[in-house]
Amino acid sequence: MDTQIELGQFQRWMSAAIMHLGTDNQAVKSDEVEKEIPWSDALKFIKPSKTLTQIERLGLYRSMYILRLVDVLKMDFPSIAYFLGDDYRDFVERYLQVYPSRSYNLNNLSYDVPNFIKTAPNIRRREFLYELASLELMLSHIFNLEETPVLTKEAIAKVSPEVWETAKIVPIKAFHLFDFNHNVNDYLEAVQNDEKPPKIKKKDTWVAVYRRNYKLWRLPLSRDAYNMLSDIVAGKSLSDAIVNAIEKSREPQEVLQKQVFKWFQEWVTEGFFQKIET
Amino acid sequence: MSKNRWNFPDLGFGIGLRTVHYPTILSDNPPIDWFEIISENYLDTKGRPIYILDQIAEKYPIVMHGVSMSIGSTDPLDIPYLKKLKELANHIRAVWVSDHLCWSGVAGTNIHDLLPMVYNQESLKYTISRVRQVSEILERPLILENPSAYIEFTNSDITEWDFLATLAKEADCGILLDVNNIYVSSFNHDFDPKEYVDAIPSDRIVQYHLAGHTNNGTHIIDTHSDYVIDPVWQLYERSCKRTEGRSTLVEWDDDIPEFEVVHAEVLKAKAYRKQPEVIEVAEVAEVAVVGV
Repeated sequence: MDTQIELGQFQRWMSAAIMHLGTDNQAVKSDEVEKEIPWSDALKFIKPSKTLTQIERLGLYRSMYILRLVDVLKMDFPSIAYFLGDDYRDFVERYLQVYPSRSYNLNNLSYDVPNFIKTAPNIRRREFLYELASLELMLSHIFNLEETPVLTKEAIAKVSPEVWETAKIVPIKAFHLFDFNHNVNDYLEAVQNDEKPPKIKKKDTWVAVYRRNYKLWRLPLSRDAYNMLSDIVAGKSLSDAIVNAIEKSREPQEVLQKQVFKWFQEWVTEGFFQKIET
Repeated sequence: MSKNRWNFPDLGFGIGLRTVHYPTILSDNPPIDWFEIISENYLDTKGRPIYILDQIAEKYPIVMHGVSMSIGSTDPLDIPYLKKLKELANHIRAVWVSDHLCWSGVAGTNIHDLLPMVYNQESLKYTISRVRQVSEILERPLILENPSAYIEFTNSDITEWDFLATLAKEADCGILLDVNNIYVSSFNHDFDPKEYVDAIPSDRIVQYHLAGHTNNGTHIIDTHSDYVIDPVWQLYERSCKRTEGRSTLVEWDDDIPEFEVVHAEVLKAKAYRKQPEVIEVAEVAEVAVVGV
């Protein structure tokens, strides 16, 4: 017999039996698993031990599978797990049915969690949860990005004044801006600090997520600061970004001009930028 | 007594590198002989994991130990993954690269477990061919570890130890002998662990693993969550009588205690085997390059 077919059939059966939802009995007798090998036949090629039946031995792999992946996803989504509480395991089981791991790297398992939240049935506070998952996923993503050199105050001082009008400022690679409709950053902050999270509410919020010296940070932004920073990230010149921010702002121009200077200082100190392109 | 056939060095007594120990390792430079990393934790990242690893690899010999090669799977080998493994091995001058005698997924999915293989002539022939391909891609001999198992199959007509011994010979690969796994499987499958230990060709053994486990009465799970128990030390001692010093490592992955506790656990192995020679990091790197 062809080894590929024999081994392949056995492996597809075992894989399907491990990943199937429900009790061990429900799994091995499900259509999806029995289409590979009927349980009556599978019983013939699994040996019972002195203390465990065939299905109990298979059940060890089934329970370890879900426990492992529940733990892995909890590391990437601690506040999603907090929010869902007792429903978290059920959420992970449903997620794995739609998005089973297809990578050698467990880091990639979390990639579709926001998509799942967006489309799966029976998700409580879907919009809030989607934003929360997007924030947590981005933190994991930024954790693994390349470290880029940071623009220093000394380098900025060397740029001649006439160049600033057209200068573009390039952010570091490990940087992302968020524009949320809920208080997700406050919620995550509380969960990370082992505090009771605030009541979930609809609220426009803006956050910069970044890594400095290999540590992850989040900086809440005002609407005006977000507008200016998002223009810079989009590749607009610094002067265009400032003009746009002033035009969009509800603040008086002179107030905003002072704020722009403060923001820029803070962003440089926080290491948001890597270089100035003139 | 015999050397391993590739003259891989005896690195002494190491532990698995785990993130909770990073601060201690980086600040104290503890006098430990070597570290083993979980390879996949350092692939696809240019962030903190590789930044930390680079610093540690400057000071200590590093061995790579993977969990996702899925050498026994009927899916095609994941060539991009293997190339990344090779790149990482070259980057950190890994002394050798190991994985497990198992499969971890099929039809494109990954269960992220070390799933048990069927041991028969067909799977042996298939696995030999796969190991040879992997060794060619990695440009170094693959070292394979015997896994713990909780299930076995009636269509296995070769013992695991005979399968592993024949595979090592025919595919020219090394063996990472996990003595705890032998104990765990012997309990779960009711065989004599001494027979297993005695059947492994000593010149193929490159490294030993030791670990604690969880005995549930009806079965044992390889949890890496406790101290090594005496019967496992005795198996280690038995194997060491046949192999001169081989690099020895304690794995601790759950309820991980402080660095000093895990280090002290592996140092207990000194009582059961010959002392290693002192080898500098630079010398180890040289051996790794020519060790194919």
